[in-house]
Amino acid sequence: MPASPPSLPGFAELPALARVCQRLDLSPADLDRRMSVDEVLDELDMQHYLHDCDNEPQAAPRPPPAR
Amino acid sequence: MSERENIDDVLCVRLPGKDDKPRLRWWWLRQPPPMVAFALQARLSAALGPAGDAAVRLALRLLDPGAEEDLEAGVEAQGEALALRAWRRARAGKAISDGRGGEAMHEAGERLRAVLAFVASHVGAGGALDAAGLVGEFEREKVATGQAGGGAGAGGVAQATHRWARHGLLHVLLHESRCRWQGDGDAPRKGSWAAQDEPDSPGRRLALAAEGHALGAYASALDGVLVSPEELAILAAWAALHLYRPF
Repeated sequence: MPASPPSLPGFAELPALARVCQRLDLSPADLDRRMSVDEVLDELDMQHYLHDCDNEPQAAPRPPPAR
Repeated sequence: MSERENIDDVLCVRLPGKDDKPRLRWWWLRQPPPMVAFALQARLSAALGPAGDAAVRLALRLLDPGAEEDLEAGVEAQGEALALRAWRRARAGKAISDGRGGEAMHEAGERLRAVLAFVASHVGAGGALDAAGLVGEFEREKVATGQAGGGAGAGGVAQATHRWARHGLLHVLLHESRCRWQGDGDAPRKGSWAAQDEPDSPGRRLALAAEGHALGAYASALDGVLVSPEELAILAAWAALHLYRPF
């Protein structure tokens, strides 16, 4: 069996890395070569922020009225 | 986007020596690339079980300064506060140690011990620590009898030798961090063990294995250099902190 690509463990444990690669138009190898752990975390935060902009978080459900 | 700069660090592990004089042992590592770092984070978290959750919760408290101050104020939480300072230094992008030895290095070692103690304290009786996954499993080496020079000692009893039947996550962590020994003494060794004119030695074998692809060779070379289980634990905690270290 051929060896798995070096990027596979990262994708398997954190699928959001695939979105980082997609948004930045980077291959997994480029991501490893050019980005630090901190920069990837910043990019993940940015994705969460953009997702919240597109999908406004729902307000917490109201508690049932007191009897 | 430019090439990422490598993130390297040096640590001096102080171990008890003869005549109350501490033994100073120098180590070097490099933060793995993001793909490997995130994969190792997840695998460590899974192997540590509840202790991993506790460690992550500790890290997340850094995001809330109020909670951090409360934590430090707790008299009974001194060990936790020490571990928290290690996390804070890691998140601030500071080296775990200052690389110059002396008291700061001693404190760095104590910080790493505090992290270990903190994690260990959260592995209760009901904990689900995957010890075999973390440190691996060994087995007695099969020694063929009757072989030339073949492992039979006086009285025909085979010499007991062991090998790793399964490598642990800590081996993977240190290998991916290219962790290597930099010698004993007051300062790290100058020059590379891997230089061509270096004679064969445990340090050279570890340096070559750290750059190689064979985990088994690295684990064997590491066994040839380590002097105590505590040293391995400190190195593993140091390497694990680098997985979370932002720059």
